[in-house]
Amino acid sequence: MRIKALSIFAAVCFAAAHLAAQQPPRDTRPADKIGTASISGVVTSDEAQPRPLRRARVTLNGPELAMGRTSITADDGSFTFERLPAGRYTLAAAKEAYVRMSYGARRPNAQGTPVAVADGQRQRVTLRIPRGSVITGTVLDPEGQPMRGVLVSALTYRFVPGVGERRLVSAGAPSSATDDRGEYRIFGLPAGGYVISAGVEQFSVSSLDIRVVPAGEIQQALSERQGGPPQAPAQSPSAATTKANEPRRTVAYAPVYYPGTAVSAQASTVTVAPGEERTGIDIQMQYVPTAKIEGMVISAAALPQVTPVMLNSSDPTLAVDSVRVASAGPDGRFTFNAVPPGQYNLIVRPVPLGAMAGAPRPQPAAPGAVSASMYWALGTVAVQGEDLAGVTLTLQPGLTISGRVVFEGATPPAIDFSQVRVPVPPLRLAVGNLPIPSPMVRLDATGRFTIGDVIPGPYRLTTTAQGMRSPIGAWWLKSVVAGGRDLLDSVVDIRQSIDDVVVTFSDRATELSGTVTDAQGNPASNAFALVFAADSQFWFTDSRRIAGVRPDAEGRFTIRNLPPGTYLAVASADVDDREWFDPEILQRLAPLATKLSLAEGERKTLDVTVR
Amino acid sequence: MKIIPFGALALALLGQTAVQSPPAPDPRTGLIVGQVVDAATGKPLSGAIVSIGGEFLFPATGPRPTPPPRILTGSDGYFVFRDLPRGSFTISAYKSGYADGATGRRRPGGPSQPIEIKPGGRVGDVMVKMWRVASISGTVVDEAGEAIVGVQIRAFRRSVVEGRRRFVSASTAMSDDRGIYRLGDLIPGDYVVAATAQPITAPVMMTGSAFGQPAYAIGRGIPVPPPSKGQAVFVYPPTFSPSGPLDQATIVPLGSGEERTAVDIALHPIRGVRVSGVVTGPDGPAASMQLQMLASGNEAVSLEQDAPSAISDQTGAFTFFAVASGDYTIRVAARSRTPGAQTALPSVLWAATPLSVGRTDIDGVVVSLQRGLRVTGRFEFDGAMEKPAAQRLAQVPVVVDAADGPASISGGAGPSRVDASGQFTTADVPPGKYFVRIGGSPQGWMFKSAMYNGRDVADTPFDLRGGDATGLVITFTDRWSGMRGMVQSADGPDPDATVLVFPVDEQMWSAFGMNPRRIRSVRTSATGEYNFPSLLPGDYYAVAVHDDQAADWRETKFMESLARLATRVSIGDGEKKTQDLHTRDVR
Repeated sequence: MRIKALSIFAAVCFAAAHLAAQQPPRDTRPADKIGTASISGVVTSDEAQPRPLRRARVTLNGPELAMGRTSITADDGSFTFERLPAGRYTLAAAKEAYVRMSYGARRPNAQGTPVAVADGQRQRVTLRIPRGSVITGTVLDPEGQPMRGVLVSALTYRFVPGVGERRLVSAGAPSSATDDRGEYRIFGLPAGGYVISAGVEQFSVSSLDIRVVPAGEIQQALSERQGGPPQAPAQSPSAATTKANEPRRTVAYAPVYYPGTAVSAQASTVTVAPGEERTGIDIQMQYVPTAKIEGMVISAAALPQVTPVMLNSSDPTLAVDSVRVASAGPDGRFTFNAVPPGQYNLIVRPVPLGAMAGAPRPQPAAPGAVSASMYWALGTVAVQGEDLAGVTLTLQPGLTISGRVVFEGATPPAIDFSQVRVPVPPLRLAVGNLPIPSPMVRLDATGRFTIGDVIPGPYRLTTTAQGMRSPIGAWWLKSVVAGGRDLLDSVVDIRQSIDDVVVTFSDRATELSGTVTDAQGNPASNAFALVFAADSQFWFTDSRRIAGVRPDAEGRFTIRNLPPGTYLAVASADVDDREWFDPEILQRLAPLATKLSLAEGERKTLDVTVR
Repeated sequence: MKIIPFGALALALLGQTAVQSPPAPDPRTGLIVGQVVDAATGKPLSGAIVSIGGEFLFPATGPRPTPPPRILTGSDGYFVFRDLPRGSFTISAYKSGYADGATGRRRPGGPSQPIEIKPGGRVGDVMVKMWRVASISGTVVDEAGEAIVGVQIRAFRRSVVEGRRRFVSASTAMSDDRGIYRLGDLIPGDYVVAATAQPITAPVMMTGSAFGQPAYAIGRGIPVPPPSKGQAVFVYPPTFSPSGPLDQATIVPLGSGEERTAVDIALHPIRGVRVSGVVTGPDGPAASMQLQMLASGNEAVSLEQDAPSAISDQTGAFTFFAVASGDYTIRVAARSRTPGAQTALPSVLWAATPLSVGRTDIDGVVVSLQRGLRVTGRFEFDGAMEKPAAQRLAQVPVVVDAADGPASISGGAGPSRVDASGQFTTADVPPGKYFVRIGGSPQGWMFKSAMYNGRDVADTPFDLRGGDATGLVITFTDRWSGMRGMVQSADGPDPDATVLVFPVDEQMWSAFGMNPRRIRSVRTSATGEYNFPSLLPGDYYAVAVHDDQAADWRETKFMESLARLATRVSIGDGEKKTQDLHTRDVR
């Protein structure tokens, strides 16, 4: 089962935040200051002979401005932003059919270089944007006829930090629906390699059950019409059995990848150079046999009138999950019709059965204890065109996780835990990315907490937990130990209720600081400083042993609370925000990095060079 | 969920008057076999998806049976549906590149003809014709001759709306990276093509970016205007091919399957001015209201969907960033979020503020929202039959039908409410001229009249202004009147005709709202018979024409020529008139 990266214990850390020193409320909308600086320039095409681009849109953003500003370039490609307060600003230029680029970025979607202006200063910049590439072709139906209304998309493999894996995602140019000639045209694409997919909207006419009539049946019907012997009533039973035995092909359109496969891993990559127009990328749609899934939700307690059951594809390369919902009645029966072949997850979201007849009686409540009131079910099913019956989903009660909070340090705080209210961020089930009602977290007077209604599965805590990267008051999150393992570093498969979790806060943390310099030895503020564990077992999304920070204007950075261990440090201008969680990128950077080790509470200085 | 067309719903609820024949045993072995063909060439069409409806949607008796799965035709174009119960069925076909076909349909978009199946009956030789769609394409350029990418192009088709010829939006497309657009899927007719999308000016907080104050949202499909020069701002006005307003537009006639190319559009920017002000409602400044700047004098084409619009911010302030000079009406029509205390019906806030825009900015416009008006009254039942039950009454929709122009509320007026004793209240509408009609009568009852101040406002509109209209009496009768008969052509009974019926009173040939009761048409059956099961007593013209000539017939001038060929028919109270007709040629 895929790892679920969620911060289930963020709640506990958040609770501690309430005890921290009071912080001033954040001012979300500073008033716009009027300044005396200006930034102006031209937008040109990114070619050997650059041409000025008119009617391009230049956007300017910066922490000094309440809101971004936009300017349209004149016929000579020029633009200007006046009356700016001194500060650092990012610029980006966009024009239809061109690829949007940030100033100073080497590739699209990458962050650019900020432009600094002082009071009274006028800065001139040139923004270069490449013309987008074009991919075009025709989509045919299985009979070879042009097919309209098919959505064709250009997809590219990209590391999705939220999932922790490489997935096929939309490339950033809008998808194109085929017109009445079956033609599509995707334009504005950055140069690169793409997987082209063609699909029919799930609920459109073409994708529901359609029957192909065998030629013999037509002949039979025509001869009956001509006055052939009418069906005698005695023959009706056999007609019924014939109908039951006759194979009824029900079909739907499957998503197809160029050049013509339903399996994305087998698709060809279409590579386009900047500004290139690639024609003839034709795709023929295919029919796939669809199947019916019939099943039952099994529950110890009586089910409510309607229990939603969700079906979604577990194809790992699909970036967009489309979910179907069927309703199970009080008898628990549900049906999904017209399901194309593939692997699927079946999910019954938590159902509050605590109040239903026949539910197990709740345990007598210990102080702060929460009784299991939510039941859930998960299953998988493989569909291959044959109807499936008898699929069962047995509702299970949620688990309870409890433990205590410990403070290690010179002066432990005096806390009245019973005063703390804990809002819990909504959980996300990685399977189907479905929101699940959040369990409640309560702390008792001794600092014990209990979290109820937890779905069994693998769990891991991430850097999004409070106290990890920045302290809560003076306290850093040091470890969350459950079942003998630290949830901050490894996956813990929670299958039964646990009651011995220890969340430890410490007032000491490691500190690693330094300067990022370029090859000439000058401070470089446009590259990320990256520090990551030498051991690749810690290379996962939001691992606390991976840190990427942008240095300040003088190239300085500081990273705190990396756990003791061996690390690699390097600077790179070529990665995007959070791309450093991609194991492939870390693999590439590791040989270029400097090794260092951190002991408990140690402070170290290190300069890193941009590679 | 399928949207049930109004006509079908009306038929279903109006009920049937046929005498019930003694129930015959239904072996449910009915059979329909037929072929889908290309209407122009006559060749069979493969890859058409054929579905069967009719009895499966509106069964005469019993629960709704499950329809058989749809059929995908092979290269011979054949389809077969078997094991059918008795009843009336429509078969329709869908195929990419063609307008939808149906049994009996003789022209794209024309009326279909159901197939009657007796118990265990078999019907063959059914032909479903499909017409290829046509297309228009061209290039869009700006004043420098540069192709404009990503601009929305709209095709308008000449139609008849409420008695008037008007260009109605048919389809849209976006120009690609070469500035080329293509409008495919067009049914034959006369078209004009234009770039009409106008900008939306939204408060800065909504769009997150500012051209100065407030934000100018360049939404999808709107061409990027020239940058402002000092105080001057620019905008591209709605432009019809080749390069101007509607009266200079090239009209593109399209036949079946025709591909018209090089219908190019050249856009030129014009200066616009700022118009700003405040929207206030009965409870103070109105936030998040959408205002539209509708140009006056646009009866010939409906540009409302693309008109410049603005959204008011939290203080009710709004700005239109760049409005070309001309005469406008600022219109707001919004359902208010909090329903009125005494009813559960959504109330409407509306405004229609006239404005003349010149060459200078206009600030301080006050748009005052008023509450909509309602119509209230009661139902009466004139007849011997048992009155409908309270729950049934609650389901009868009372429709306030605008007489001057298409429905002026986006999304249509809300539902009406009828209580157990037959007192009704309609939803709010802005002031104007209206008819009051019924969306569907209880079983066995025919909608007879809606009397208000001595006039039947189902036939003649009244002015709803200054206050709610109260005391309407809507009367239903169980004395059905109607008209039926046989249509003959030179060769015998005519299965390809449509019978058109309209009142003798010429006043009723224009401004008759969306659903006039006395202007009706019906297709003949396969045996040449026609039937209007419910037609109110009165004096009518009735004429049968070949179905090809029945397209867009509800137009004032056309009705004048029809009147010259028609037969005068008088229907008395409770009379079921029989009137045979001969097919006429209107050309």
